[in-house]
Amino acid sequence: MVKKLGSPFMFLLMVIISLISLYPFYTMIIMGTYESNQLYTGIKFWFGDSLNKNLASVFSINFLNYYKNSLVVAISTTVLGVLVCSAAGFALGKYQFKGKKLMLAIVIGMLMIPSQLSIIAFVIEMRWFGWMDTLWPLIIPPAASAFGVFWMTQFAKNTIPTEVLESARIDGCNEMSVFLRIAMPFMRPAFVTLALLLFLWSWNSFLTPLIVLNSDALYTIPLGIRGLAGQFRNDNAAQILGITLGTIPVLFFFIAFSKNLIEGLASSAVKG
Amino acid sequence: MSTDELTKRNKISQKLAPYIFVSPFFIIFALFSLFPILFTLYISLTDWTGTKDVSLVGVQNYIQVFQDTRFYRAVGNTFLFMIMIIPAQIILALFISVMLTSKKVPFVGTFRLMNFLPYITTSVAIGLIFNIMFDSNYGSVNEILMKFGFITEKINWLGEKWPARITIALVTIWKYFGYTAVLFMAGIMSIDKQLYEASEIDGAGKWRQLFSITLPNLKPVMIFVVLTTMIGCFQIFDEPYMIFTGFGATLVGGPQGSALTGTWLIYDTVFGGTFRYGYGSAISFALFILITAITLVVLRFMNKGGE
Repeated sequence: MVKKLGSPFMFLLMVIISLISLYPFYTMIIMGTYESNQLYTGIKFWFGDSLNKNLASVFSINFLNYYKNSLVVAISTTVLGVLVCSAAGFALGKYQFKGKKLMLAIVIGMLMIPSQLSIIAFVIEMRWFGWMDTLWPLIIPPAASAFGVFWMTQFAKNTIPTEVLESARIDGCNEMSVFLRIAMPFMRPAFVTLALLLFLWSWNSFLTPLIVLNSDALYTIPLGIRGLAGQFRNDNAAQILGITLGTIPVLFFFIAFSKNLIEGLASSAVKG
Repeated sequence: MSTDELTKRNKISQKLAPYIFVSPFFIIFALFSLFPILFTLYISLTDWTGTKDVSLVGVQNYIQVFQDTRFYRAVGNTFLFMIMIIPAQIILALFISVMLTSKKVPFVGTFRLMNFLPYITTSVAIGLIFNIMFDSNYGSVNEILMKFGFITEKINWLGEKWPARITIALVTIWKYFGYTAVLFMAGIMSIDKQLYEASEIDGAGKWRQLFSITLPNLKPVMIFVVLTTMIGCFQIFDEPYMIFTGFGATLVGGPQGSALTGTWLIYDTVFGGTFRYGYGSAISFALFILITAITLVVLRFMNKGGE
């Protein structure tokens, strides 16, 4: 067994790093079961006994509504994003056409530019659209992810055999069904990876909702949860419990699909 | 319809199809990603403060930006963060990814998940948890360090300049190294196994293999990681914002501005009480140029280094 583990020292080091990595997450889970005034009283290793009290606080605000908003936003942007990115990625990866080089250059250039830099112009634009204090700015813009298209382009180029597309055309498939019936199944692994990442980024997004949303009824979880600490109350334990509850969907997806995530990454982007 | 006509029609639809496929993406992309950048440039040349009266003021905002100590502080902090974060993050991620792809470690899936969990944790949670962990009086970090005798006096992590920077660097490394490790793992898995087998026959040890096979073959991933992490350092905002202001206090940029970064400076200039759109946009565009320059330099440097 010792031989199988490689150097025991290296293995031990990895275990320690992994435990440190896990510690804050574990802390989050157990801190949600204490009273707020117990949080700042030294290290805790096990659950407290205020879970029910904190649950009551969490559901005393519109938590379910925040949850619903987060789900609506994350699911919509994921579905839309996967569709537009895979269609564009398929075209850029598998067709020859005028303007393709320029389009790819723009996408790759924009990969490197943080969207936060143009947040002011973005907000003014949202006002023109009448989209301030609506969920649209959180759904539509993130769907056109430069990363997503880059990703899908690489994947389509490397994994879809051109001959299969050609023979489908000879059999009389039009371009739309070539994309939907022939190309899509090949792109499935990349699909899952992109969907996971889009969902995660949307679910955890903070700056854009912070700036565009004003009404409590539209708040997503990260914004809504702040309502438990502020001028009138300071229930940090309940905040943490709310966030823990908010982490469940992403945790679930990542455990279910973590194999796909790595394989999807391995088969496309890194070959770029 | 004859076969000729059919092929002709197919040829036309094959020419048109790619444009139809890319158009939904590029319409959204042009509207919400490209246009805001050009618009930022325009706003940066005006004195816009949110009211109806807007007049062009030329490069006046830029002159002001280059005299603004807060701008230099934000850029300086960003470079400090790069130095503190990038090497540590890459070494940790490499270590984990090499271990987990070595086929000599049990529970690969569990370890992978443990190290990936920080990446899926929302920044609001990270802010709250680290605020508690790094609390100077009751935080677990000070308690552990004192127990093991590393320090004799409690460190005021969130109240002093350098400790605050170290805290933010640690939070950032903690959050992203597992994700980086996954990228490295993907890269390592796509390296040709025969390379390792051949070098084993030649009698190369594990360290030798790491430096002469794994690392050179990871170069594309490495360039990607270094670039995105450097650019990410300009964007550090969510976590420090929650750590330093999450509990009602509004300490812009942390103690003495020690954790102020580009994104935070823009946020504070425009959404933190004043509405100096023109000035904020000038800061944005200056950072945009800086980031482009860094990207080009890094790409050139790293592409040369490998040849």
